[in-house]
Formats: sequence, C-alpha cells, structure tokens
Amino acid sequence: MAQFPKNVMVIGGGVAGLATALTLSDLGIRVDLVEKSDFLGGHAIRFACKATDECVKCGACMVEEKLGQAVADPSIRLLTGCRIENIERNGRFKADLTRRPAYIDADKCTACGLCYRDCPEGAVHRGYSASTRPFYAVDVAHCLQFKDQSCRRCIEVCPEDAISLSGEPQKLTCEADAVVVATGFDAFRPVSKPYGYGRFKNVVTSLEMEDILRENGAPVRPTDGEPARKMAFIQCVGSRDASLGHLWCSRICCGTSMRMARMLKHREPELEVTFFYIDIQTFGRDFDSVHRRIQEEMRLVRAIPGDIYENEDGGLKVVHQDVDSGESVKEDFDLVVLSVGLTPAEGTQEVAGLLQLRTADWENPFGEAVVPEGVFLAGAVAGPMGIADSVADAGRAALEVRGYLDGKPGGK
Amino acid sequence: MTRETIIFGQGFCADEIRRRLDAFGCPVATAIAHRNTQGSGQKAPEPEAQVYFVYDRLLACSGSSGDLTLLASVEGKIVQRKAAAVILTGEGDREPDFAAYGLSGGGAVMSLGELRSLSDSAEKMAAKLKGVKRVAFLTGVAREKVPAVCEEVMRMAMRLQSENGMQTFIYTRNLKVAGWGLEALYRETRMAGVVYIKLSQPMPEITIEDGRPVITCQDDISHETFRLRPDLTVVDETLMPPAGLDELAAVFQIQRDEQGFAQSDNVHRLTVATNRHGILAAGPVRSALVAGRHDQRLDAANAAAAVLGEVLGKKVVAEDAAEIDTGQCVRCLTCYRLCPYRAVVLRDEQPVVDPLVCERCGICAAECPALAIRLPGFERSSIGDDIAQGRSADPQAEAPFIVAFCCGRSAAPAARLASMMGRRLPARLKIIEVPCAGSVSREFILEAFTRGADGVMVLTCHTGNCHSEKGNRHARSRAAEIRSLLPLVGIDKERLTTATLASNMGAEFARLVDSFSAELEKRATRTGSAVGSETA
Ligand SMILES: Cc1cc2nc3c(=O)[nH]c(=O)nc-3n(C[C@H](O)[C@H](O)[C@H](O)COP(=O)(O)OP(=O)(O)OC[C@H]3O[C@@H](n4cnc5c(N)ncnc54)[C@H](O)[C@@H]3O)c2cc1C
Ligand code: SF4
Ligand code: SF4
Repeated sequence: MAQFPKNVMVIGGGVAGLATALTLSDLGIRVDLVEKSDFLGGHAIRFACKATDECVKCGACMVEEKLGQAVADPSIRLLTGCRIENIERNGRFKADLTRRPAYIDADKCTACGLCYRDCPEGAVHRGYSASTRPFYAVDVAHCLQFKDQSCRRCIEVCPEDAISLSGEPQKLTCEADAVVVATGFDAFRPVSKPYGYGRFKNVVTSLEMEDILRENGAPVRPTDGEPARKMAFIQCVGSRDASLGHLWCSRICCGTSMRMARMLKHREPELEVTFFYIDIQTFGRDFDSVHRRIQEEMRLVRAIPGDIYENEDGGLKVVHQDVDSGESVKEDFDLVVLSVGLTPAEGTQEVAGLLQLRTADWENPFGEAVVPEGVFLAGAVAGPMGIADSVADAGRAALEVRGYLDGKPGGK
Repeated sequence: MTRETIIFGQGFCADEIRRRLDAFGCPVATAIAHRNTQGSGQKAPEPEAQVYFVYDRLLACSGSSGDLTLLASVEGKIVQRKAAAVILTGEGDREPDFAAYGLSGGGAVMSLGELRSLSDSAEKMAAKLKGVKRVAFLTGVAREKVPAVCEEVMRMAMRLQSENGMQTFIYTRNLKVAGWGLEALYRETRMAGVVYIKLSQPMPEITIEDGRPVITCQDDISHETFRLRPDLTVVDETLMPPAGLDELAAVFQIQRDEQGFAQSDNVHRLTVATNRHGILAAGPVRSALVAGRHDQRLDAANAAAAVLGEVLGKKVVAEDAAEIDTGQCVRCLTCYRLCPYRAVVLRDEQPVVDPLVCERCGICAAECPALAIRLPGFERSSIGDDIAQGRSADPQAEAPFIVAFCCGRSAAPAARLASMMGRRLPARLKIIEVPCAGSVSREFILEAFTRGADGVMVLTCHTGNCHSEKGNRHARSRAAEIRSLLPLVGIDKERLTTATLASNMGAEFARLVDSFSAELEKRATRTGSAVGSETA
C-alpha cells in the first residue's frame, strides 16, 4: 500500500470542492483547496433558505454546514484568492500559485462592517456565511486606491487597523499526488435574450434574487425597494434552448424557483405568482404532492414569453401566448425573475489547458471528456447538477482519488 | 473487530458496491434471506467467490459503524454476525399505473416493465409485437414521475420507432428531462419521429373500443383535439420501496420517508447516510430519485467511501456523550424510544448510552421523566450560571434581558451571521448555544426565567430539517406546554416564544430578536413593570 498521508489539490471551493476535500480527509488524505475568489462556498453559499413553515430540502444550509466542517478540519488547507499560474507534471503535480495579499487581516477584523458601509465605490465585498474569515474583502478592480491612489476611506474607518491596501502577491507552490477539478459552472447571463436584462432594473436573474432575499427577506424591486406584488418567473432561460446551442436541462431551476415562489407566497399570501415554463421538473421526494399544491398556489402558463417592455413606473409588460386562445397577449408584472440555467465555467477553461483536460460536452455528458490520469472531476464542472448531486459526485471523486493513490484503479 | 460489510439486496447498485469495495480489499458478504431462495423471485447463492450471509430471520442489530452486531435465526439457532457496516440496497419495486388510467394489463395494454423485459430479446419482442404499428406511451399523466422513468420511456419509444418501424406517441404532462443527457435524448427521439403530446388538466379521455384503448385529449402546444386508437398502449410505472424493506427497516431501526424509502426526507442524510451510523442506504431503496444508472453508481461509490473511511478509522468521536445515572433511572425506556440515533442500548434491561453512537442531541436528557440523564456541559445548573453571568455582564439595564436558546446547527450560526452582517442586536441578548434544540428542556426554560430573563426564545431549525429528526419539534412542544403554564405562576406567556431559522438566515434572526425585544418593551410599559428589574 502507498504511504499516507498523501496530498491532493482540489481546485474550486464550491460545495463540490468542499465535499471532496472533506471526504478525502475522511479517507486519510491531506488537501490543498484552491479557490480563486475571496470566499469559499461557490454559488450555493449565496442561496437563501426556502423553507415555508417547514424545510423544503433546497439544500442551501448543507453548503453552510460543509463550509463550517472544512474550516474546522486540520487536514484541509484553505487557499482563497489564488490564481493557478502553472502546473507541472512529473509523476506528481507541482502547481505554482499566486495569492492575492490579504488586504483585510482575518485575525484583526471583527466584522464590524464599517468598511463595507463606507466604501464609496462598493468595492468592499461581504461573505455569506458565519464561517467566512475574514467576512469582508476588498475588490481591487473597483477600489479607487488601486485605480489612482485617491481614497483611503476604509483604512481610516477601520477601528481595528485591520486593512492595508498594499502588499505583494504571494507566490506559493502546491505539490500534489492528484488533482480534483471542482470549478463548477457559470450562471447564464441572459443579455442576449429579449427580456431587457441589464436595461430594465426590475428584470433580475434567479441568482440575483437570492441576494435580494438574503438581504431583505422579501422580493423587493430594485427600482423602488418596494416588495413586489405581482411576479413572473420565466423558466429555462439559457437552458433547453436550441438557438443558443444549450441542449440541456439545467436540472435545478424548476426546483429552486418554485421553492422560492412557495416561500414568498408563504410569507406574503397576497403575492401573485405566474410561472412561464416548458415542463416542470421533479424535485424532492414528495414532488407529486408539492406539484398539486403548486397548481393551487400559483398560475402556471405553458409558454415562454417572447418579449418584455418596460412601463414608465418600472413595471414590466410581458408578451406571451395565451394558452387558451393561442393569441399573443401583454400582461403587467412588477418584478420578473429569469430562472437562469447553468453553463460551463470560464474558470474551468483557465485550468483545463494546464492539465490537458477536456471536460464533457454538456449536451452529451457521457461523450467526450478527456481526463488525464491523476486528474478527477467533481460537481457541476461535469454538467448541470444541484447541491445534493454535487455532494454525491464529490464522494465518488474522493473514492476514486483514494483508489488511484492506492494503485487500485478498480476503484474507478 | 471485523472489516466485513454486509449488503442487503441485489441488483446493479449492489454489484457496483461490491466491485468498489473489492478493489480496496474490503471484505463483503451478501445477505440472503433463506426463505427467499425457495420462492421464485430472488436468486439463490451462486457458487462463486462471493461470501454469503444466509439467514432465516433477522432479529436485531446493535452497535455502530465499524462494530455492528447482527442477530439472526438460522435453521432454528440464533447466530451472531459482526459487520463493519450494513448497506441496504436493491432494485425497488415498480407498480404499473394501470388503475390510475382506468386500464388493466393484457391484450393491447402493457406496462413499461413488461415491455422492458421483452426488449431483452429482439425475437421475443418481434413475436409479441407482431402487427403493432402504433404505440402510445402514457408517462407522468396520472402521477408525476422521476427522470429515470421518463428516460426509459424515451429509450423504448426510440427503439420501437427506429428499429421496429412503429409510430410511437408519448403522452405526458411534464417531460422529465432533468437527468444526464435527457434533453439531448428528447431531441433525438423527436428527430427519429417520436410524437409528443403534452397535456395540462384534465386527464385525457380513455375509452375501450374493440378491446383497445382510445385516447382523446387536447394537446397543449397545438391546442388541437387529438384522438388515437393505438395497437399497443404502454403504461409507465411508479417506483416503490422493495417489499422486504419493512422488515429490514424495523430491525435496523432506520427512519424512512413518507413513501417508505429507506432514508428520511432530511437534508442531513446526504447521499447514503441514515439516522444510524454504519447503516447505509444506496440506490432506489433510498429514493425513487436515484433509480437511474448514473445515480446508482454515485450511491455505490459513496457507500464504499463511507465504509472505507470507517475501516481507515479516521473519525474518532471524542466529545462527551450523554450519561444515564443508573441509580436515578426508573427504566421507563423513554430515552430508548426517543434516541434518533439508536444510541441508547439495553444492558441487562438497564438503558445505557453507547458513547460512540451518541450525537449529543440531548433529547433523552430533556425528556427523561426521572431527570436521570446528563449531557455534559449542558446541565441545568451550568446553563443557569451562564445565564446569570450574561445578565450581570451587561450594564445597560434598561433593555429587556433576553435568553435565546439556539440550535447549534441553525439559529446559533444565524445569530453569528447577523452580527457579522452588522445588524444591531438587542443590547441584552444572551445566546445559549445547544448542540440540538432537542436538549432544551422544560427545566432550562424555567431556569432562564428564574435567573431573571425578561423574555425567553427557543430557536430551532425548520420542521423537517432536524439532524436529530424531531429535536426541534420536541423543543417547540415543550415550550408550548410551558407557555400554557406560565400564567399560573404569574408570568405573561408572551415572554416565551419559539421560532424556526436556518443557519443562513442572519437577517431574519436580527428581525426576529428585534421584534421580540420591542414586544417585551411594549408589554412591560403596558403592565407598568419595569423591564430589566428582578423577576423571579
Ligand atoms: C440561481 C441558482 C439557484 C440554485 N438553487 C439551487 C437550489 O436551491 N438547490 C440546489 O441543490 N442547487 C441549486 N443550484 C445549483 C447549485 O448552485 C450547484 O449545484 C452548486 O453550486 C454546484 O457546486 P460546485 O461546487 O460544483 O460549483 P460552484 O458553486 O460553481 O463552485 C465552483 C467554485 O470553483 C471556483 N473556481 C472556478 N474556477 C476556478 C479556478 N480556475 N481556480 C480556482 N477556483 C475556481 C469558483 O470561484 C467557485 O467558488 C442553483 C444554481 C443557480 C444558478
Ligand atoms: S430545471 Fe426546469 S427551468 Fe431548468 S432547464 Fe430544466 S426544465 Fe428548464
Ligand atoms: S443525547 Fe441524543 S444521541 Fe445521545 S443518547 Fe441521548 S438521545 Fe441519543
């Protein structure tokens, strides 16, 4: 048997990367978890809990739990804010990383939030989880100090002296016996769809809606901060769309948007919700009964709208085909949520070349992936999947890594 | 201690688990109920390199992950078998939805399962389907289905359409394409000529003409009435837990979901975990949602990873388990009944806690009528001292003093998040973090009032989210009971409240404690009693 502990580099600190790291640790393997952004948890750490008077199994809290466990696990080294510059392969893997300086000192920061409140450019970002340390981070791309050295507001306002806007990037090397790629997905940016996204403020994506809910607990309209009374959800935006060449169902958007709508209706029974959809996908074990309730609680329209216009007051006119007459009708809504799908991540491309990796074609996930020996995929990098599936896939990947390190490829 | 894993159930997932564990040299035994080998259904042990555990009746299973002991009767004798882990798996049962469509099988009506078994042999299929030109599939019309069933329907239709030269029609409400490659498969079937008819309400009208069903309905997409008299109507199936699961679940004392699958509908039971350490559930036996091959493979790998982690022995639980004071215990077995992890075991009729299994939810300690159980670190007196300290620590005596019992998995991280998000929390808020709200006993709540709380909150996770299955509900019902009794001792019942939160609900936590605080202040002014003054 091979000598343990071995070291594995996991690229991507979303729920799949976290779960892979945790299972690897259970299997006696040390992990370097390399994340490019300032925060761990990936997309899913941003999600709002969708419970009504009971848990609806959206899985958001499981991401929080995995993050907490990973932070507490001494066999996992967490490397946020890292760019992978190069990966050399010589039996083992040797990766050169550049780590952004920690502009906010985790040990000093007490999460008082003054920097976040006072930054004139909104360049101080905030984490989503109580396990995030530090809870705030400076986005150099928007920071005036980095632009023209014209602002030191956050440094001045910080009572703990925890901020410094200088420092050299750190060079690190990661030596690993295997690499797991868990770079996830990118949410579809619906600028090419005829829904006025980016121009009409009250047209938001489901991902942006998560942020709105985390902040306000209610579906407030970006234009006036008032809670919406008549909402529309448009499903399959960026999924099941031949015109985009996206011949996949993103698998999570029916569940996530319907759970969201049910939660909102539970909090505000007067809220009117309309769903525009193609087919409603099964989510949860009790879907048959949930589906029946959904049919009572909201209006389901089997049609994908063709257009959206903006009214003067920021309200929206949605043009769709009437189900009964088959004619085109215009209908007013005050907030439209585009249920955006999952697409292959740019971040994956950044490392694919370094690893001679070709990920699967999402239309044909059983097709073309070329994954070199010692490299493994985990989570949504391989195709659209939800949190529970990402965790299951992570468990599989971790087992296969251990099999590889043991010289027991039968584990695959 | 043995390293052997015992697998209950057969089929694709079981084979995959065996293959994975074999690769790591982990010994596996396949359990076979002896009586099953005489009937028709299950396969008898084959003389290959496999190890079997043949039993007549399974009686009990004690211990935990890494060290389980199974008791079974074998040919009239009671035998013991040790196992590192037990994995429940198997194919699950499939029930054709005939009745839901007012149809019965036979003749021109067939279940998806019958067609599937025919498809094993091209000759059998050709013989049986001779003369059939038009085939209608009914899937997910009467009942919503999972993608695995839809995939089978699409594959069958595709095959009949392109290999057997038939015209196929798929009737459905919501085409289930949320699986690997299914949208692409759907497009492929359409290209091959499969016709889809999508329905909303109501049910299509199905009548019988000359022994053959006639289906009349309105298509959602074309808005036209569509009448078809197919030569063959194929009705899909609903996936059910396997028939033998009742017995296994009872012996292994695992929680099941509403449909009876071998895992409760609880987000904490990620992938193959059940409420019992070392008892795993993999494949369609745990949920209809993992009936597809891809998902079964993932389950098998996760089961193998769990076993391997156990065998490698990484996890050592060092935290203090609940303790039963045998002198005080009246052997009512409340703890034995209520422990969600089956950590309370009987030794010579005396309940004791197995420290390796205990998850420190404290449900037993809170429910024990003899107060014989102690959860170290969470005794009434230490909680009381903690509260007293919190009360005196804060000099700002104007604001109401609030004690919030917070579940460590939900409300407590939400509280931390709230302060990290810069939300202003009430000035005198004492948070008592407990491992599970299930440990918040009636005594704790009363202690908080005794130690001077103006208001007490019991904050749990949402119903259906509790890692300890019902710890949250126990806590809330205790609080409800105390609330109804408070007026008897002269305490306004509004001073005790309960609410549910998730770990990511920082904003909601802040709002909740804020409005409780405001309510307390309002009531205090109304009744004229000064908030923050000594209360008993
Ligand atoms: C709007 C929306 C709502 C959703 N709601 C739900 C829901 O309710 N329930 C559910 O189960 N699922 C939901 N999902 C799906 C869920 O987001 C995914 O299942 C999950 O995020 C997948 O995790 P992941 O770790 O594979 O990917 P990600 O969450 O995308 O994480 C990938 C991580 O890798 C990092 N990374 C990428 N490239 C690199 C690189 N080159 N170097 C270093 N790091 C890199 C990224 O910064 C990121 O942190 C939703 C998705 C969307 C878009
Ligand atoms: S899950 Fe629903 S919304 Fe998302 S792509 Fe699939 S069908 Fe469309
Ligand atoms: S504390 Fe919970 S897990 Fe431990 S023995 Fe008591 S009921 Fe069981």
